[in-house]
Amino acid sequence: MKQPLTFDSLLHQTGEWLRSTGPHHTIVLSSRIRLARNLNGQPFPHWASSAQRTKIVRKVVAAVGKSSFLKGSLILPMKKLSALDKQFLVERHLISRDFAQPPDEKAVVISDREIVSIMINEEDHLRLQVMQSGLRLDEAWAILQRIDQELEKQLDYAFRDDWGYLTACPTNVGTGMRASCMLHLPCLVMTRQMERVLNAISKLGMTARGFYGEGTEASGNFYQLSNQVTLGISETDTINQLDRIIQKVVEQEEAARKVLLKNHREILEDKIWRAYGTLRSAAQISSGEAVKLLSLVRLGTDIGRIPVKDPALMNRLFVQIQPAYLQKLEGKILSPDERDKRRAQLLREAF
Amino acid sequence: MIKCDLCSKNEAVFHLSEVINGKSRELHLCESCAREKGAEQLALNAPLIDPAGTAAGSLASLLAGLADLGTKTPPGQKPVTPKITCSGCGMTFAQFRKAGRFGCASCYGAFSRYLTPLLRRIHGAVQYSGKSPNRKAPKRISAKERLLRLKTELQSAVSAEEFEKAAALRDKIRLLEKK
Ligand SMILES: [Zn+2]
Ligand SMILES: [Zn+2]
Repeated sequence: MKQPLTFDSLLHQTGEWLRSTGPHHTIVLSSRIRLARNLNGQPFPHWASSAQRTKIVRKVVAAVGKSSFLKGSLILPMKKLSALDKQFLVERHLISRDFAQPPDEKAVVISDREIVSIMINEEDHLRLQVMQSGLRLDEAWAILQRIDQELEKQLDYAFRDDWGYLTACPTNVGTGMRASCMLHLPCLVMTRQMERVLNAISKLGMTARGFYGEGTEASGNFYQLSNQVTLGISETDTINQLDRIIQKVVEQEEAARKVLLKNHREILEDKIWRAYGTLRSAAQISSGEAVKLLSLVRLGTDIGRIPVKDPALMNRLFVQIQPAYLQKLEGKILSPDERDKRRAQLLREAF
Repeated sequence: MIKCDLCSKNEAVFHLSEVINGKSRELHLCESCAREKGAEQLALNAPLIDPAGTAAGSLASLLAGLADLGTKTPPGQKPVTPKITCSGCGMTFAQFRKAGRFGCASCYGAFSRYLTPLLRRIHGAVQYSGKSPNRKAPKRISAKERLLRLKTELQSAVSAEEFEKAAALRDKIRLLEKK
């Protein structure tokens, strides 16, 4: 018998999106698609009273209960979670940073292996998201469509023939879809080509964000590329277009790696081995420094310089060195200094 | 006298034409409709909507420009925010402009007249393409309602500079009106 999902079980499992499988998984860490959905006759969360928000949570949770795909999912009311728990979910990309903020008449539904998460009362009544490892937007879309179809039988979605799915913000109206891929592009950064790549991407109607979404810095050479337009272009066209662009960027990163290995092999290897050495021996380390060094070691494993038994480890560590994870692991609140020590210990044990 | 394609009342003084796929389409507008829809600028070849603004402009700046789109602004006067309130949730158009977010799904219907230019700026398109909720057959609509919808679509098409679509819609409206 499979154990039912609990909050604490999240601590000891690896989300599907971090498993390091799927096409181009060395460069494309993960693929994610989210859909914004709203209910007719209910004010959007920011405009609703707390009683109305509570009612919306109840409605959506009831619909989720009737979905066969979401059977056995974890349903977490935000009211019952501590600030640390919320931060932990943010670090795992299961909820957004905004969602962790008050008011808390909100709930999140998390499916088996963290493939699906549904935020209830984020900016929209529903934010459905599916995450997959590697470049697998098609699979993510197939799963998402199934869940959407199950939920629309239970919920009266707000939709117009001319403008599609209606959302709180006009930037999401239409498909309500944001498809994105998390790319690790250390060699495009080292060869100073990122600006050119990002420029080209924005001309094609796509945007780039950091590891933790909108407004975050591109730390650890991770870039989240996603579509921007949701009206006038269908879901599958958007996905195909993004998929093509991602493949192009992957090709460019691969080319940059080849060039660096050919012309500057010693410098590159020196950087990688020094990073590895620091991670194996540091007594305290900030998350910023750790992310920077992990990026280099990840590159080292990709190009066969550093052997690792478990390829998913390199992905997992990016999430495990985050503050809330460390504190959940210790089972108590840690000061920044204590966290830096605990982080260093975790990294020494990993390598 | 050529009648205005939008109001079918006044004499058309603006004659716009565009050649698409070798076919020439025309649109005739009276002075007041033309001014309202910004066609005056269209005729002078100045684009109503700045395409460069699509990527660079923030939502706030897009919304700031909203008041001059779709409302008549006599020269020398400040643009007036239309006084509309969504009957679904009580949000006023001014509140929407300030927040940049709607109050409920019905707001789209309440503010629809002013949304086309905004959506055009954000998405570069105003017609949805994609999946729809799997519902029962759509309810039948009356000829009057259909005519009203077509006219709204025509206005959208004109303000979105989609002349081919506008001309096709005009033909449909004429057919319906003859019945
Ligand atoms: Zn007229
Ligand atoms: Zn409303």
